[in-house]
Amino acid sequence: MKYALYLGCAITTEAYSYEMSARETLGRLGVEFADLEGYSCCGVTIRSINPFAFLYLSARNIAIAETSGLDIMTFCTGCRMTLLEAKHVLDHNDKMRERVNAVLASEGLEYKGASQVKHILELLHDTIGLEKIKSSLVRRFDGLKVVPHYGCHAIRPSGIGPQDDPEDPQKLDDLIRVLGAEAPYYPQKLDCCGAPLLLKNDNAAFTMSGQKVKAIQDYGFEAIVTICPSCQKMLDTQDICGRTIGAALNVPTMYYTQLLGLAMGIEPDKLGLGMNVSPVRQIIDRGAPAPAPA
Amino acid sequence: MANLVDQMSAAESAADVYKLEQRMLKEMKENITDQCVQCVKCTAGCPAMKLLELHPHEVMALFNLGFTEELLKSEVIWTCLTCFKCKERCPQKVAPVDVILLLRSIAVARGIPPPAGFASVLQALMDRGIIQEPVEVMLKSVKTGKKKFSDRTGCSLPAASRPKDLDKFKEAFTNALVQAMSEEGS
Repeated sequence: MKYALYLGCAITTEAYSYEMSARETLGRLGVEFADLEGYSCCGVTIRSINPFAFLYLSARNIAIAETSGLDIMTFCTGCRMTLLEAKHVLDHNDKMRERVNAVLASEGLEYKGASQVKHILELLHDTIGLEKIKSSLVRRFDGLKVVPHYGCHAIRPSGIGPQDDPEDPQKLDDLIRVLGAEAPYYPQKLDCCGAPLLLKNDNAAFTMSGQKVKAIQDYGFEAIVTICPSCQKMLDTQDICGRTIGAALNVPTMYYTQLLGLAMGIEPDKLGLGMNVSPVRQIIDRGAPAPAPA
Repeated sequence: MANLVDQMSAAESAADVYKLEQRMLKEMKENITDQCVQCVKCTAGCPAMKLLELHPHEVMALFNLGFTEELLKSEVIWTCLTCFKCKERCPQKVAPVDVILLLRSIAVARGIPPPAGFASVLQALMDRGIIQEPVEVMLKSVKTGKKKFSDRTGCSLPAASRPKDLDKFKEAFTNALVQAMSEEGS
């Protein structure tokens, strides 16, 4: 299992703990990555103000990844959606592909459409699979109530590529349960983290993340797991979103790969858990040895 | 301030942009929004409705009634979170989010400034191809409690991937930006 790894802006420049924990855990599950040079932003933030420049940026990154002959792996859900949407347009619209390729040519690049775009949720759930993950565990989180935050762009819009159910996603729930934890349903499961509003109204953005964390805290759930650097930042920085809504928020929030890494017995510092703002210590100290595989 | 957003709007002649946007709006109306039956499912699930009074079904109604100019100048089109729930849930296969995004791109092409955040993001991408320089983050060791600032190297990660020849990238990106409203939109 080898992929061209496309990290996007947030992970490349800031969300190091996601990359650290993903590389640590996926490496042990037999996944290899090609780290290619020259990537740029996927274009997600300028998608609505300049549709052509968004296509160009996405196509540019896919074209770089395609030089490796490998499929593309994304950890960020924003990158996932953006690359998949661009791929959908470029694979179905010859004229648009020609126009984009005319711009790409000045950097010696060409979008061919040969590589598939994948996201870590599908990699973990569909490609590696729950059984293989289960056999890699040395600790279990029995009884721990962990809620999944999927993030809008992990599951919508439908029709652009493989994904989970856009209204009732279950893959991250399954991945939580395989660690022994519970994945209780909560009505705010599909609520947005608010990140896209940061460009327009950050008070509203943090109100949105604060309200979601507050609901989770009020239900008595013990942790939140995420699969996107933007969602993680919005939900983990509970000093900011708590202040915004006037509430004291203390729900341990981490990337799924950090929780998985703990269950695999990986040193917390190698998972970047020292970078989380929310009180993840309570989760690090939980967990019991897993029974030896039969 | 002559920023990149202004350059985008100046790239095409006003007459060309007008012609193109009229065609795009007409197609959007005929193919999609005429099918809206005002069931309000989009608004019921809209995350921006709760906080910012975005009512996607009203946007659709106003659009169908020809209030395009008003919508282009309205702040409300900038409150959409692009969560795509409205697209997913519409029983008529109408997508308010697609209309809102089209209105945003037409507004920008007309020279109506988007919220300031968009202009700074665009400038950052032009300057370095990625949104910011890799930052140093505060890393508190779980094991020892020691605090230190770490960059990618300090986190044992490979160097950041970014455009190698920045001049070539800027030239291509500029070329892409000015084509926003030429020929067909996406």
